[in-house]
Amino acid sequence: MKAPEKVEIIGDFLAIRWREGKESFLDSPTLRAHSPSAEQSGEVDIFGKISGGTEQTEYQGVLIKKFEYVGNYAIRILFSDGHGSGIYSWDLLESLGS
Amino acid sequence: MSEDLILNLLKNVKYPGFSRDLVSFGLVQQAEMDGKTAKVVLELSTTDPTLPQTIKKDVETALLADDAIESAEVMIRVKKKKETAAPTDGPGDENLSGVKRIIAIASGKGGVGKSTLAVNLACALARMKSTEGEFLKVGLMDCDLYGPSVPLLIGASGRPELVGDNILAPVESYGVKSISMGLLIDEESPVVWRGPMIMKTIQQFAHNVVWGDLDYLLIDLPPGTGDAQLSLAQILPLDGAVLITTPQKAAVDVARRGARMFEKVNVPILGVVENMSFLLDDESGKKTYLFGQGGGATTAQVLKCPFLGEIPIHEEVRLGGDHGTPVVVANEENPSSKEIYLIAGKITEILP
Repeated sequence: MKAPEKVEIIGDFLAIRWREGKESFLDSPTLRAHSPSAEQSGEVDIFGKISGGTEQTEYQGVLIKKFEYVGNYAIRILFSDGHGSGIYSWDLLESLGS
Repeated sequence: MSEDLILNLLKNVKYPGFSRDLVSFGLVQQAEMDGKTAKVVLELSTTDPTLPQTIKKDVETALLADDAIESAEVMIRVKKKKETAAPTDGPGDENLSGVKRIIAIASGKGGVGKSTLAVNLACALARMKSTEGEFLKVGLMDCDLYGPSVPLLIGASGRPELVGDNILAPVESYGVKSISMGLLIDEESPVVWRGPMIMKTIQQFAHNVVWGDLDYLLIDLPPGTGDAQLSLAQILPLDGAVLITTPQKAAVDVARRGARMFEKVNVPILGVVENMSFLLDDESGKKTYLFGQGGGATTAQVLKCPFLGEIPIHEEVRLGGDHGTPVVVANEENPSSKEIYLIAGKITEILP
């Protein structure tokens, strides 16, 4: 999947313009709740059991503070609650947007 | 009521670069009518210095278009938090800004000849000319930190020179600039590190080495899909990866796994190279297929990428490595050398 043309924080949203002209507007609490980080989603052991992670899914009021590019496949987002270990691939961002 | 009028008008003002309007983005902090004057306060968190002015003008135009509004007072507040500074033009890096193409040399299985091939490809590229008639400028980053073999294979010795505050100059041999753990520690010292140190070192290889202007930077990776590969894919904007395999099943199966990893991190596989394809009898020309046949071509087919070539096993390849004179330099007419030059040529065609 090709990297988007533009990624920008606008208000409480992460705005993405993809190459085919499609756009995604993701609000901060949704992004925070879907963080792929083990801190949020936990880790799977060889029996398929999930350890770690959190049950919390409500992040009302949490904002995106900044983001940085990770190679050419993802961005890492830092949130106002201090969470910053989630690496959001283009695939994940696109699926969250639709 | 009057606020609704303003908001309705502002719903027609798109945020520059996107099709969504200012109201939907939640940027309007205040909107009210004072007589026939519309007062609007917007809050932005952009680092683009021209954007506030652009938006201000767009908003004024939209407001004044309505007959009920005679003048507009638009105030734009820009959240001046340091944290809002985000890169907008993709990954950028000073010490790599002169590097045109970054290519990883990867495999699934170990011992397929990645380092030997990376060194020979780098030297072959450095002896080829660009369309402007100049020799290609080539660098080689040895990311096999536990078992660095590039210095031996390319005949590099001596420590990289410290040329600034935490800045190293790469070591040059046969026109190839290289950096390797092998140049930074003595031969006997083992590198006993956990993942985070691998990440840190690769970061410094990328950011704290003066690479200068390069047409190609090749990256020699350790086998597999571990810390080094992932770190690399996260730190560097790779243009592609060349996948090395030997013909037998044990290598082919894991090569595919390696390829899938690159897919996940959005790095295209430029092609598959089959190494140690056959033993060539110099006199009779008879080929002996020690590891079976067709593994590389099959892998390329499965991955739907080009098959770049098959390199025969030849004693001179090993000798070249042992003596630090890569075979493509020592003997261009060697059958393995010829194939490596062909492969280097194909790489320059795929990524000019």
